[in-house]
Amino acid sequence: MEIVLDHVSFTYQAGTPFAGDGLKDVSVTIPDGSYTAIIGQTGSGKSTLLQHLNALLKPTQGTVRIGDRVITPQTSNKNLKPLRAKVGLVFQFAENQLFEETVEKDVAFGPKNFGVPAAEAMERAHHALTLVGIGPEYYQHSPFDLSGGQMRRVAIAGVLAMTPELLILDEPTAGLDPKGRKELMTLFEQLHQEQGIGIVLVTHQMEDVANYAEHVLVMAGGQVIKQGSPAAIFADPDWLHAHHLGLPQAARFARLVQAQGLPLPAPLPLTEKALAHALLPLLHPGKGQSDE
Amino acid sequence: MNKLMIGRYLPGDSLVHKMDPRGKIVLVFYFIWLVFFADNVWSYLTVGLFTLLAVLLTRIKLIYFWRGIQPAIFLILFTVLIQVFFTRGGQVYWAWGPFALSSAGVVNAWFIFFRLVIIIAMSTLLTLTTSPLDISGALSSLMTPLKWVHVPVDIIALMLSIALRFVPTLMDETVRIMNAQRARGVDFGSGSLAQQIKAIVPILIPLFVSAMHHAEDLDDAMTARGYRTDAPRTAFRVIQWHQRDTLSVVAFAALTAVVFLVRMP
Repeated sequence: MEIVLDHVSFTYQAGTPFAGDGLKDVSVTIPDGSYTAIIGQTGSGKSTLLQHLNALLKPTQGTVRIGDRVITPQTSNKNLKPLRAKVGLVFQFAENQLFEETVEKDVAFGPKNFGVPAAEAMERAHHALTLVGIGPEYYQHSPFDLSGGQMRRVAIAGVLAMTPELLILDEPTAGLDPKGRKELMTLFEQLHQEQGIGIVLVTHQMEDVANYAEHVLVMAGGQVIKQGSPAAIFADPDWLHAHHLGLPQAARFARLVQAQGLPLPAPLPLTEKALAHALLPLLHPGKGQSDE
Repeated sequence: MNKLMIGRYLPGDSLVHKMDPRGKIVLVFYFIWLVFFADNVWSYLTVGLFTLLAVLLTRIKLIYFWRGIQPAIFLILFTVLIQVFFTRGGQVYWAWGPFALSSAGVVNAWFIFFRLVIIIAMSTLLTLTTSPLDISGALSSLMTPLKWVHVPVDIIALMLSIALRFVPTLMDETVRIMNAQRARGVDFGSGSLAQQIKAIVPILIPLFVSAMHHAEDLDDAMTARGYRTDAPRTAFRVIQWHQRDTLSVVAFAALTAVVFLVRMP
């Protein structure tokens, strides 16, 4: 499902003395089935943009096209359910949305709301829980008895159980341990690769951007100031620095190597794998492509 | 929810903003009491002009005061209509069963209307120009005499300031949880009454749980920083009485004199 934002502006609390800018004239396209990362400083409008992607917020100006639905400032709040069933949104600290008595009931809550029969909803819930790595021994537990990391997984399973075509993730791994982070990021990558689910990821982890994203949007002051492939975005470290963003660790290390006068092939390696490939010829001078 | 002006604070540096909050609270309550003494056109004109003057002194746009009155407009109109149709006296123009339209009814209705508008405008003025911190500070200062009868004034003041501090936090959280549940297919404000009440549960429980978490964390953080309920404390924010506060008391005294002078004998 393709999402097109056409000159979208959004103002918080329009018409009051507390009015604040959310988005300013944003025009972007999120292609069908792509893996898009959105980066930018805190308060740059990332979360506001996300909420436009499933019509939780409606633009104060411009239009948003989600699949074949067009959302304008005049669109009414009725009949948005079918759209939200297709666009799953995992909020920051998603564990705060749990409320049911048992884990499986909470996960089945989403599909049931979209009219899936109870038995099938429960089946989907179990499937989603397996995906996020929560075993059957937890199905009957209260979600409030789980650890923070497990609660996050249950909350994410609650969105996956809706079987969305597009999955929007607002810092899904914030506050998790490295292992939990890796597992979740791998799960999202699998869903993307194997089921063709589109992913929009907001993150401050440049490693995640370099490892997984196909397309990157850089936001500042409620505007999209740059977009392109990770390679194109990370090609200009000074520009990134000026916008309070950094490089992935692999690229930072590669720059240090270059500063030592060692030649590395042109595009800066962004992932550890690419870095290893770039460094290998230096270890075996003569065998590699390098002439020195 | 966003357009509601009740209880909102608009920072500014007008004379009214800079007043001693204790004096401001007492004077506003006194003013509301005084409004009930107005009983003819002249006395209403006096309190009305005084309110307008006070509102202009805040240098806040009039539209925001109007927004404060807006949510109560139906209540006001309802009260006014009851006054109009159920009061008999003076010249009766029209009567049918218990209903009647009389000159006394119309006059009374006008008075009720002005009274409500003036009271709401003045209370809006108090909240628009006084920060929640100032209000809680002022209230604890005003409650000091209650210490003699063993009321835990400091603890009440602390609870009050924490409660005020967390109102916006919990409001934000409510919005976030509502959005998260909306994304999971909950429809708020549609369907039958029973359905609508059921739709509240997915907001209420997470909100309650999160409030408990806030309370636990805050408790730990306060204890870690050496807070003890039984220890005597000093204050960082000291409220000061200025000459302008004395002047405002004088203004209110003058207003009282005028109101009682023009009242019907």
